[in-house]
Amino acid sequence: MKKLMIITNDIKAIISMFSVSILMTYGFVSFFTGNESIPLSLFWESLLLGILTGGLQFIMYNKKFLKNLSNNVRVILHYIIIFILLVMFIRVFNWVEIWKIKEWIFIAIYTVYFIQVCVAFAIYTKATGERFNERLISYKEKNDIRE
Amino acid sequence: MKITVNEDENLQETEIIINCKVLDAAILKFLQVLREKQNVIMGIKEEKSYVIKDTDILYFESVDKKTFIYTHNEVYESTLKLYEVEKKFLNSHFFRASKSTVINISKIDVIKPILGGRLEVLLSNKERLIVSRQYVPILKEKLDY
Repeated sequence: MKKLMIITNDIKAIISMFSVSILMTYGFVSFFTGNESIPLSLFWESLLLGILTGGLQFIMYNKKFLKNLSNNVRVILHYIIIFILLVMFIRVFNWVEIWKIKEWIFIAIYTVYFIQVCVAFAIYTKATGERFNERLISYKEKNDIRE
Repeated sequence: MKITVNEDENLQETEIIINCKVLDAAILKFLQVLREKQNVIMGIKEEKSYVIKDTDILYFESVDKKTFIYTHNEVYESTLKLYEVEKKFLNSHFFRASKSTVINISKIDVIKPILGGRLEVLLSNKERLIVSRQYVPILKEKLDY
């Protein structure tokens, strides 16, 4: 039960992140396309996409699943699956029509966004990890802890 | 040496006060023995009890309401609950890492951030444990991060 709560909480955070980012992106693009309102259907569609991508994220980066995959393969696979999901959503829900932009631009935005998130996370992980390990060494020196 | 034991039901904690003219070698030895007593824990394995020093412990884990003590080569069971272990070693190198583990910082080799604001720690026995997001601030505080 406790594990289920933790998993649900993690998925919820990712769903919220995806849904909000889609709505924020729509708001940003609307500056250029001149849209003054957001269709209600887009809200539910983005929430559905959020649920799918949230569940996908949990599966892709949980070490209990796909144990033999390296991190690089996971990221590439993640990119491809989200790409397919996005294309499906674009086609099924006519997003290009709503967004008033060309399909390839939408895909390009997604690719740039995905790379940006990956790079940002890699930088964050490296910087935070280095800081933690520096503090760990200092702690050991301060308390005269030898290996 | 005069020894006085004052038994009082109202006292919250056992306290030892040493009044001496000079802190000589005999008293220092006595203090060392006392400190060593504070930094040990009883572990049970195959119906035998062992005294385990905190410096030998990698981490404590609670599984099915039982607390286990992990050293480099052995696993012992403790009679203490995890929160009691946490309290006992509050001022030492141990910290609460998740609902089920208390880790010895001195036995951590590498700390790595992972998704979801959590940390993965590599222990000196090459075992990897997770520090939950809600307990990361405790580790940060211990490390003066």
